[in-house]
Amino acid sequence: MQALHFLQALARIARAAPKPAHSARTRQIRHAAYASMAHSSRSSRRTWSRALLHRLRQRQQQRPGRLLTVRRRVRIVTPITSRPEEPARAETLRQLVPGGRGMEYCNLLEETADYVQCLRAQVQLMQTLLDAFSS
Amino acid sequence: MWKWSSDGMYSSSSANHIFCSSEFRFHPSVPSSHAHSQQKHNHKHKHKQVTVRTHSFLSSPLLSSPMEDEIQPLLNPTTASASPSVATSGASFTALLGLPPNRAVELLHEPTFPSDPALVDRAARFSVFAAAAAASSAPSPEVSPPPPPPETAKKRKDGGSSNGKAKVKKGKHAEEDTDGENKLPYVHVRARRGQATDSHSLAERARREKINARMKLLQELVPGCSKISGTALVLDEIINHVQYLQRQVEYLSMRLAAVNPRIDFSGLDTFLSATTMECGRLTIGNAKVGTELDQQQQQPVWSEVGVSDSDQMNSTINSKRPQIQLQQNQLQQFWHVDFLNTQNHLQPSVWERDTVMGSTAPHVQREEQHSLVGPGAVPLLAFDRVNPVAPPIQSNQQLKMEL
Repeated sequence: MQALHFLQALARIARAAPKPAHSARTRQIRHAAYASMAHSSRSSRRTWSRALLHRLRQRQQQRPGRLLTVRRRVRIVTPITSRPEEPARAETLRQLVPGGRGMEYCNLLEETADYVQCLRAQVQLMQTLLDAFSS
Repeated sequence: MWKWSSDGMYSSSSANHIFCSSEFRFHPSVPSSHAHSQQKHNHKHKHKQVTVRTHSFLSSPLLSSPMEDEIQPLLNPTTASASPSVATSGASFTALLGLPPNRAVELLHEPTFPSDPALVDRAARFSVFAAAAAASSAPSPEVSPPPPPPETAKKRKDGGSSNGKAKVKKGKHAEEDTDGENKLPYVHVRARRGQATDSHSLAERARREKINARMKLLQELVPGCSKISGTALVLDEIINHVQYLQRQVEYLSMRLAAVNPRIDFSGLDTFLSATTMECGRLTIGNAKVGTELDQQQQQPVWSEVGVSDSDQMNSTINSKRPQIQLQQNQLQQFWHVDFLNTQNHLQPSVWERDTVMGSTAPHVQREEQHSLVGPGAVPLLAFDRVNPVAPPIQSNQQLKMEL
């Protein structure tokens, strides 16, 4: 399901006005990769997939009005959700995993495991695609 | 004057009020707002007086000394009578001290501890912890009703996990307890040696075990983490791995962007979606050839599809090989898709090898689909036609490589 979604997205990108801008296409492909990860059948119930999709949509909506809108990024300086028994690295992990801010440490570990699995599958998928195309 | 009289009246009325309230408290039939745990003692007429008085003793520290004097002798006989029963139960008295205070108070009121199963039943309902022997843990889960607090569920899990860690002393006490408590509907937990046994630490322990289980799972997922000991280093490794994977995605997307204009995907995805099941049946035969080869690439793939929830993660990762055969039906679709991913422009050759109908049929099919798709399909078709000979040889090699 993940692969199908990704390939469909890639087809869409290739079809839609082949821009010479390398960076724009890179961004689109990365967007497609994360979207297909979030849409995979295994992870659609996960917190991180919902947070990831939300983040992707936010970025898409921000893009058209980029010059006009002022980007207000309210970043909470003090970690709300950190508890004394958590190790210090938990904060960086929360930043890495999408949607990690609102989770407890226990659920964070579970989401990280699922996220790592999905990421690894996505990387493998892209790698095999590249190999198939380049050979 | 008027002021004085008002003050006097106020003071007198307040005194009356206090007097009335104290009397109110001393009424035996009035239900108390404090110490609800002691209400059950009202059922026992024998202990009613004791209950009320002790309740009053506890609730109103402003009692005058005569009440205390009355209470002390009452308490003493109870303890005196309790001690023989306590002595008979051996080490249980010392264990009683470790219990939460409300339960200890209840048990102190009771002259013969295990004599009244109904009372003990009610006592247990309010008790947070009860140590038990392993023998009783078998009948108790059957007897227990759905446990209201979640703590008991955790205790049961804890009891199952800490079976081998019971101390002999606690075991003796637990054995004594079970004679009177085997009728209790609650779950009994065996505490580990030297560990606190109240609900908070039990819940914390369960939580810690959950966290440790998930850390172990992550350690197995992240390569090279099993050798590392210590939570901080493992977390560092996990974070590095996540960052590495994210960077990898960026890098590969950049490379795909460079490769992309050369290959047209338009016909491919429709081909994939339309022929999923049919190709799956065909690819199983091919895939079995390549099953033994290059297992490494497949393992994460299988673990991805086979894992449906986190509870299965441990088992699936630990026992990947035996489950491979079981999960083949589930993995059909994914294999097929992955297979087609790698073989996108080499598909017709594979079909030529497998289908009985011949080489023309797949091409016809693709043509139809391409016509449905649009003008973008023509270059792909041309691409297919151009390399009819070279791909078959390559496809065999790639089949074995990528499966």
